[in-house]
Amino acid sequence: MEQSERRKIEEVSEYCGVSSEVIFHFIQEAWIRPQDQNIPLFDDEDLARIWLIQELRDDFGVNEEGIPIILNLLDQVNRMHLEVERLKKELN
Amino acid sequence: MLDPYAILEVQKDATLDAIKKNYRKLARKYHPDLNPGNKTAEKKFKEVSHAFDQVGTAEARARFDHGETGETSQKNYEESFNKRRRPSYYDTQQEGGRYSYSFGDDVDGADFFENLFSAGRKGGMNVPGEDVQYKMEVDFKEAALGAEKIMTLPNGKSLKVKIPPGIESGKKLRFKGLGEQGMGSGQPGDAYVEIIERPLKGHKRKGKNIEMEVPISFLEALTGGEVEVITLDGKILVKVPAGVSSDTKLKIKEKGAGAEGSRGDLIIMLKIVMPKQIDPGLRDAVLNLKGQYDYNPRMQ
Repeated sequence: MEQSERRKIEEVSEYCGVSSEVIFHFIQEAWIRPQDQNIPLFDDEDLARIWLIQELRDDFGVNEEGIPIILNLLDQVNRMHLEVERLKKELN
Repeated sequence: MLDPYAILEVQKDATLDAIKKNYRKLARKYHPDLNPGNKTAEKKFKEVSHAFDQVGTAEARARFDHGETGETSQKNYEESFNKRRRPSYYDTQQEGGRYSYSFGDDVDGADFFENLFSAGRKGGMNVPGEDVQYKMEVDFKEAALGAEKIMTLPNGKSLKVKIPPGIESGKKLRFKGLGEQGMGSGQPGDAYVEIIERPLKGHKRKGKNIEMEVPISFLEALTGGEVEVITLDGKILVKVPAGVSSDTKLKIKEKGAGAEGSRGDLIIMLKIVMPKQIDPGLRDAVLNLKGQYDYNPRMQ
């Protein structure tokens, strides 16, 4: 996969409209896992995931307990979707 | 210019609650992660999100209703919501996204719900264990000269902590892999033990040097002599020169903090102390001498 641009937490905070403290909370909960956690730098995947979590929290009213379950489900569905696509190609 | 009220399928006089309720309904319907690969749904989601940005709060709605954003062109509108909204999370997970691939290769239907619920809040992912922080109080001497101590962890296990000679209060010792267990194949975190030095009266650490206050009588200050001092290494006799003042410093080499061979110095700071109760005989004797030997230290 192509390496995407890495951004500092301050840039991500401004871009996503989420405070740095909230982003650290996402990291602590392991909802976001930047590749280097010592000086966290965020790629496009992290950014899109932060947006998604914010939408779940603010727009859909999902509580803290529900977020990891939804993230987990989405990741598993995405993974399975990719597996299905791969198997389809192999069969063809 | 698209009408945000029409996009959100509400009347212009709808309450904020009604607007929010409809926004949530439509956002759920068109969310790109619930409609992977569906460009129409993605476009609708952006429209709905932007419409909500325009009228979803009292402030934004007041601005919109007063026409402050009414002249925005369709082009600006497109640019605005493209900038405002992220790419779909689903798109970032194609071609081997980190998050979706963190389940490993063994996920099948049977594991699905087990993976989901067995790992609790952090899901069935491979997550490194968190670091844990402990504090340990040590004596002044233990911090200065080093020691070995055992601490009991909350899980009942014992941890042998080797305190390096000369460690300073607040420093942390790292114990690799002794933090919380990781999930899946995630590595365990590390344990950190912060050393808190208990103060010892009359002693101060200055790096590897130790400053120690030693009280002497005014007669010892006047005449000099040997005084017994209790150091970290035991009792020693220190020669006090005649005529010293308070705060005179005497250096004893290599009796400070640190490992053998690289220890700092012990700096003795003399402090002239008067007797708690002055004996009348002493007072009379000094008075007799005052006329003959008086001096003004403020003029020296």
